[in-house]
Amino acid sequence: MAGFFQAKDVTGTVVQMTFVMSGTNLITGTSTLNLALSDSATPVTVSNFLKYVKSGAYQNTLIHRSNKQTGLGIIQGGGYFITDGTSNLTGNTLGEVYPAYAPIINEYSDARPNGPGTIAMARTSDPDSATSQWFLNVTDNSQTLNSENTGGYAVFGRVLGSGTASMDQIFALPVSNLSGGLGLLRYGAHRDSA
Amino acid sequence: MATVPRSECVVVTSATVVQPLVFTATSDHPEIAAPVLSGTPNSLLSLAYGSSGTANVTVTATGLEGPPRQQVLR
Repeated sequence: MAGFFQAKDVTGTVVQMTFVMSGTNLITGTSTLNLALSDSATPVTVSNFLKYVKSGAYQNTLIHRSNKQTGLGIIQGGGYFITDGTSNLTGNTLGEVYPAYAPIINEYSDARPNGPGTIAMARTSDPDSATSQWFLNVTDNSQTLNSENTGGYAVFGRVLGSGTASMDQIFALPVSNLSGGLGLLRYGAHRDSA
Repeated sequence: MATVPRSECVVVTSATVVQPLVFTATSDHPEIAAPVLSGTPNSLLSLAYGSSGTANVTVTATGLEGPPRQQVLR
């Protein structure tokens, strides 16, 4: 029935992410994001992301970074999960997403800039080092993360419709820092209790 | 060591592949033409024919965003 119906602006795989904010968060409840992936334009990146999705590796992971600098407004996840049942998190109670598949090549293109509402792969300064961590471009980061920045950061999809409101809600939460065994982590997606 | 209450974090509780469109089909006279959806996702429509006559088959596509859309086949 594809001849009769076509999901607007969707040509590839769609991944649905559910976020839970609870406790004393400024915002409490469940949010859902639908991500339309660019399978044909970035096949390696999408395939890698789907491996983590289908293995369940992203389940119970944290949004561990919220960067609110001018020119780099992002929220980032896919890196850490809670390793125990304690009510208070420290760097030592977080585990990295596992299994970590081999790093992938960078499929960045200036034709797919890091504009608002897009999803891209996080990595080190090595352009071909992305594994599990992803980030959502909340603001227009197209100049900061383009090819002049170590080859650019590969955009491989975008948030559909109302999901951008959920993204903005998470981004609006204050930032606290968490130090410990994993060093300094920025937890943007929770209320600063200080 | 700094700590953060677990309850204050935002947690990704699930990440799954979903279908962008879900289809349903109904007939106002199933004894004449009964719709059958098949395929993955349910995107192939076939009709099981019975007695002669006219039937309206309504196909509804429900997406992740926006209202459902319908197409009537007669």
